[in-house]
Amino acid sequence: MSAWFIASLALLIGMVPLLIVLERTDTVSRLIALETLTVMTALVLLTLAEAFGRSFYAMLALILALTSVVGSPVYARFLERYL
Amino acid sequence: MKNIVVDVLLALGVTVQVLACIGVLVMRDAYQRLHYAAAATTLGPVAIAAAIVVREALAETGLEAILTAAVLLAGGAVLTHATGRAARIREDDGLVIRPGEIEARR
Repeated sequence: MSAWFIASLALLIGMVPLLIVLERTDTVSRLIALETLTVMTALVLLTLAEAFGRSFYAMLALILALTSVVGSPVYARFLERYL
Repeated sequence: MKNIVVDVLLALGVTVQVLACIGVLVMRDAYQRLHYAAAATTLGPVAIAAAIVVREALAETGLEAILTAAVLLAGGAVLTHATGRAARIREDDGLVIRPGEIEARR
């Protein structure tokens, strides 16, 4: 088991506190947890790309990062006025 | 030597990310959680991308790692601002700070 695979597992386990925040807190805190989960998922994909030697996973991480930067402000905007 | 640098950068990145996630959990309101969410978009991604670049140089994965870290770094500031603004408007229907409000929060 390589260091990259262990790093992926550690990052996945690190997401557990964010899932608890998603379950138990107010709406804005849930959005914060969702944004952080997206960052963690992108990093898991990056480390998995190294662990398995597949650069395609790194491309997925980049696409996820780009879509989260576009998508999360939209959620925030809706939370301001409509939800 | 290169492997040691990679492992140190990787451990640093993962540790920072896990601590940021724990910080998001233990803080008491959205404003305090934002500090840790913002931290999760800075040092951790940069350290992990640096580990990949040290290992792979500027091959395909290295370039994608740099781009991902750059997007997270730049986007994190935008997300933090947008989310903080949303929290404030939901709470008080405006962005103006009332006299004595900051002291009352401490």
